[in-house]
Amino acid sequence: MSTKTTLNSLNAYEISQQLRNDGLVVAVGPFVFCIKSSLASIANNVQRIYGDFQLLSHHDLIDFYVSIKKPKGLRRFIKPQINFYCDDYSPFLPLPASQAFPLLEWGMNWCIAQHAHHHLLLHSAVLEKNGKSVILPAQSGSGKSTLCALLALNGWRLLSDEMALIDLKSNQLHALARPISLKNESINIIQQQNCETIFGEIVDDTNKGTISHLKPSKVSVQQVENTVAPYAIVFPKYQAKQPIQVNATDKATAFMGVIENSFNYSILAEAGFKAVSQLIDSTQCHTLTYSSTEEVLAFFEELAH
Amino acid sequence: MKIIKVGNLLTKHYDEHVIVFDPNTGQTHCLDSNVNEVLNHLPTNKPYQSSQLKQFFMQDCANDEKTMLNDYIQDMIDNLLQLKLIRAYSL
Repeated sequence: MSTKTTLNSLNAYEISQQLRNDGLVVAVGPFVFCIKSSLASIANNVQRIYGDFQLLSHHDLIDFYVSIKKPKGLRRFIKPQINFYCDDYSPFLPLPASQAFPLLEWGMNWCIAQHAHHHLLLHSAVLEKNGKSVILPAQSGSGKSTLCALLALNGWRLLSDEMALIDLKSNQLHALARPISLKNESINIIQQQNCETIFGEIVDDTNKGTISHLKPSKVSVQQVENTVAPYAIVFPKYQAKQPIQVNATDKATAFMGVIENSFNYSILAEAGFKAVSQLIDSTQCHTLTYSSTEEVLAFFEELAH
Repeated sequence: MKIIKVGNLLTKHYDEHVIVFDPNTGQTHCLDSNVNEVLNHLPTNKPYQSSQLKQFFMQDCANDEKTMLNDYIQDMIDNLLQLKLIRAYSL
């Protein structure tokens, strides 16, 4: 078996230099990104969070050329801002320079969501244990990422915190194993878990509040090429002080729930309809309301056995 | 009134519901499974009298049942017209 070179093989200076010059080429699941930036915060966070990811070269086929750059002119110095670019196109408004790494993460999500139409893309966390995968589609604020981080720290393989990638032909789930984006109180909740965790820098005052990224486990990143068949779809909702409640969802409701959380169902049209039909046919579907960590972990443990 | 079903609809049947994808509008609808019986009965190439459609479903029914079914099917037709899954046909 060939050993893959990871970013851990580079020291901080080398990472910083590659980011500044031609760009750092990294495999992120089935995609290859070339990342460029001269910002120290990008170099620090990439080294901290992406250490286990496969390092590639400019001879490899690159899907996305992305960069985080300071704008020219006054806003380079006065309340400095930064822009995200994909192939010299900037899809977002500039953000304060302190938000460089979250902007890079959001930008990478944007690249995949806008271009990877050979997959059905769902706004969803995806994890796997004992060969059984769970898809957790949810809108922002439902506690999806917190739940995803809890599961990832309790023996589940992380496929994705943000996006389910379902192959249109094989119906298999592809993994991204990107950093888990945690917001506000979730950061404390996960930091207080009795597990070894590595976080990126904590960034305050973003549109989503305080943000920090949790490094994915080495195993999850190493197994990123392992696809898995969908096993269960769980629509999670955190509700403070409520006992856990799990209900089987009828398939038609689950179908519509999946569509609501899809980035590209309408673009895929007939292929999207067929992919969702196939997904619903092959999975058990539940809604889940929870507040207790122990209860929710026990539920997922049962699901995996 | 004559009605006609739009072409190329894709359907997925579940116990109580049917999911209908209309490639003409790109819309997906979750409908009562009974609607599917009505949709299945309608051709896409030839306008069909709605009264004829109702009569088909009201065979061997008592008068009170006919009244109930007539209202129920009319509601379905109105709903399908609104969703543009069927169209009213005029010369």
